[in-house]
Amino acid sequence: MLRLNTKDLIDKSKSGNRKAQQQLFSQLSAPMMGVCVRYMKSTEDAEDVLLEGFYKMFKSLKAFTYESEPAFFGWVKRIMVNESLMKLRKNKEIQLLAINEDLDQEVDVSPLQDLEVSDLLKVIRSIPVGYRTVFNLYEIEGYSHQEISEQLGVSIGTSKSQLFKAKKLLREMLEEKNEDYGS
Amino acid sequence: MALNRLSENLDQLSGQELGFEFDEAAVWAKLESRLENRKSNVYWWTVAASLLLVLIFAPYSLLKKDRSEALIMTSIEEVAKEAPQEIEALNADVSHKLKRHIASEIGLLESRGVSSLQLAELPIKKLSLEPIAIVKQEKKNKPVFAAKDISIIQASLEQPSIGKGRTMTIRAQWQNSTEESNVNYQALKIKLYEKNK
Repeated sequence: MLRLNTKDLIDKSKSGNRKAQQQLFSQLSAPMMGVCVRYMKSTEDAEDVLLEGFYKMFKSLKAFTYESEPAFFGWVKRIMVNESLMKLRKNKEIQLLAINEDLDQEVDVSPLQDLEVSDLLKVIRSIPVGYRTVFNLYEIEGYSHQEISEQLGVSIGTSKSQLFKAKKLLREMLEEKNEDYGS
Repeated sequence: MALNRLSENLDQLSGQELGFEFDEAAVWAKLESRLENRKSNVYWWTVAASLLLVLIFAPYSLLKKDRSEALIMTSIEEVAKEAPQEIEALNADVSHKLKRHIASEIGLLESRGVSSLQLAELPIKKLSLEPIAIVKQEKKNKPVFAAKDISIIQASLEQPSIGKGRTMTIRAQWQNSTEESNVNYQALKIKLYEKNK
């Protein structure tokens, strides 16, 4: 994931060493851009989020206590996710509505796992922003509905219903795709 | 369904593999510019904070200076509160001595070129005021020194025997008067204040 000298890079970045900061950015920018594009519709918006996220990361790096590379990576990723959510909220793109459906009904989206990662990303990015956001947070980042409801300022029911709809839509898209391939 | 695998995979893949491209160098250039701005902002904030501290404390130090000048006034007021202090001139010899003393003081002050106009400019460390002597008229033909007869206020500087500061002695010159003493020390204060202006 990261080079062995990540801790040194962090330490040097903390003291404002620009080269170390650049190297850290170089190591993290691609995977973090991957996080941002999952949430943002356009690449330009994702770049904006990436830029803002890294700026905040370097700003608050002094307060960060290094424990391990995965912990550091997770911390930066959380910054990117939060920044993405802020951008979505700012653009008023998230309009989450509770849906009266049987939320306990299981929707099987296991075929998603058979997709190529790039195809999966395309599929995820093609669904409405509300669905996509909750799906990303729940299924990919591993947030609970409670955490999602707090992050997005919605009820747990709304979070569940958005996830349900997201899965249903993804399932339908996959079925359509399979039909296209079949025909 | 658990898509955690996806998370790990997504995190490890390059932009190209994920199906997007972004100009890393361009984003870094923007980021670097913002970080530089921040650095310069930090610098300017430090300068601004220092200026703010100067603005906060400079008036305080000026105030402290003002307080020392105000002390002169306060002390003079204290004299006024003490007034009228009267020294009885029991006989002509005493009044003569007094007059001579004042005259010699005036002569001494003038020879030193010290006047009340210089009072405010003097770096006062310690201010001591001598009670102004007023010769009370007890009998006819005895001199009376009254505040309303003040013609001049003089100041002298003396080196103290102890300590680093200088002691300033303020004396008032009185004119002979046959009128009853009706001391108006407020006048003394105002006069001094005006001269300080």
